[in-house]
Amino acid sequence: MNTAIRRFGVPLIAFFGLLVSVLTDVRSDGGLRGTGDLGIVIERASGQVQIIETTNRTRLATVSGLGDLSHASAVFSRDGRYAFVFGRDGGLSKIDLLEGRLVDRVIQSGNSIGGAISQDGSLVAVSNYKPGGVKIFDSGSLERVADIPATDAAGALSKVVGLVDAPGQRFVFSLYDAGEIWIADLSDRRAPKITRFTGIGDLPYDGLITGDGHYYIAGLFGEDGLALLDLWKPEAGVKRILDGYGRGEEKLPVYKMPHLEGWAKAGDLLFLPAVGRHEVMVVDSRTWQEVKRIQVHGQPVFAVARPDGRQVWVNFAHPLNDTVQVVDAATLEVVHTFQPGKAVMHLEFTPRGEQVWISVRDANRVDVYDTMTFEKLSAIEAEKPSGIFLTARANKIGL
Amino acid sequence: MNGGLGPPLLPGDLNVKDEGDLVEVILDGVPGTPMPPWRFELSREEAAWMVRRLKEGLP
Repeated sequence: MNTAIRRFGVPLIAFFGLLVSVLTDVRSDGGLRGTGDLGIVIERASGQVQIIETTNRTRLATVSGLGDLSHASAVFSRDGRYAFVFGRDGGLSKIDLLEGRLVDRVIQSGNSIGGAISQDGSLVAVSNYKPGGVKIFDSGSLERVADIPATDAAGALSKVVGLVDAPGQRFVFSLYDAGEIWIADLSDRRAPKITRFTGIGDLPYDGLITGDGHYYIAGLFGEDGLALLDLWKPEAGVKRILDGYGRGEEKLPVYKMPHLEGWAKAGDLLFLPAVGRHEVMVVDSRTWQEVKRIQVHGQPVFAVARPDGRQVWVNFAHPLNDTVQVVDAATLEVVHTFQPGKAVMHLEFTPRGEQVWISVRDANRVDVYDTMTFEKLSAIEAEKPSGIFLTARANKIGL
Repeated sequence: MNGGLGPPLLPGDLNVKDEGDLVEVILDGVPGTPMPPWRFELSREEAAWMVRRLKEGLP
């Protein structure tokens, strides 16, 4: 080395320095690794996310500078390497899970609520409250490729909710104020083709697509019932299901809107959180008839099926949000009730469902439970954790 | 405070409204909208404090 320095001087030292630092970086990350057991935890108060892995249940890195992350959600690139995080302040952030860093960030609107990634992984769509509409970005460069203002018949902008990806390079979403469902076909990314369904119901507040990409369902806040769109037969239009399911009963005030993204499909049964009721509704997806209403601890926020469909885990709205219940999909009974702590925000299963990760915001903890024994396996410290998103979502329609 | 499903709660939006009316909205909610009543865990004084802070603007 000394000889080399005498002969070639400073440039060579710089070269070796660079080489050493590159090698050190890779080694400090533990060498090569896949991304299938990685995920992120949103730390909403501090505008950062933790990168975690579910094999040894550890925290790998923290990425900060993501802005206002209240109600933030994320989708993943199809290779499971990048997370796209949608912040409340309209920020769209791209995170490299392997390098543990923020790659790119754009402020794409004033106020956003969620997003989706296209079937081929090339486009990221963001739904916005203000100005109401959907913006589409290239997932590589984050360059904006299309803007879809959500205008009703009178030309007024509507808040957009329930944005999901659908087969055929399409996105489907609902217009909260206008009461409409739109399909945007991005086969030609610069010229989206829009199909509108009007008069679908009063105040759709969220939507989901079934895991097979066949049905889109919007929950309605303004009335009982749900709006169903068969994506195999869009020409048949939107039909109402569970129409007036609580008619004549007084609804409770809603302290947190249910989330429909995680609507559970277990076999032919859909498990849906009821709005303003202490109930999980069970619907047969062959007939769209109600099978049962399961009485639960509080107003459900998430009702999420374990990947095998055998269990549905439910958390609840304020002020009953210290509790989680587990429903057995075979008997449709609550089989387990426990209190992880104050303000349970989200639940996420590992890809094959042997663990569930639960964020307990006010305890500043993410707890990991065994889903067979219900035993707590471990906990990870996190600052005001909310959403938990694992890379298995990269390969699922609608997530 | 920039608004979600409901309207923004910034000083420019709130200062045109009466403090007493806003306190009632917090305590009793707005039927038919996602704004729920908070009377079960907030006193009138606490609601009034929140309204004053919102009118001043939060940091």
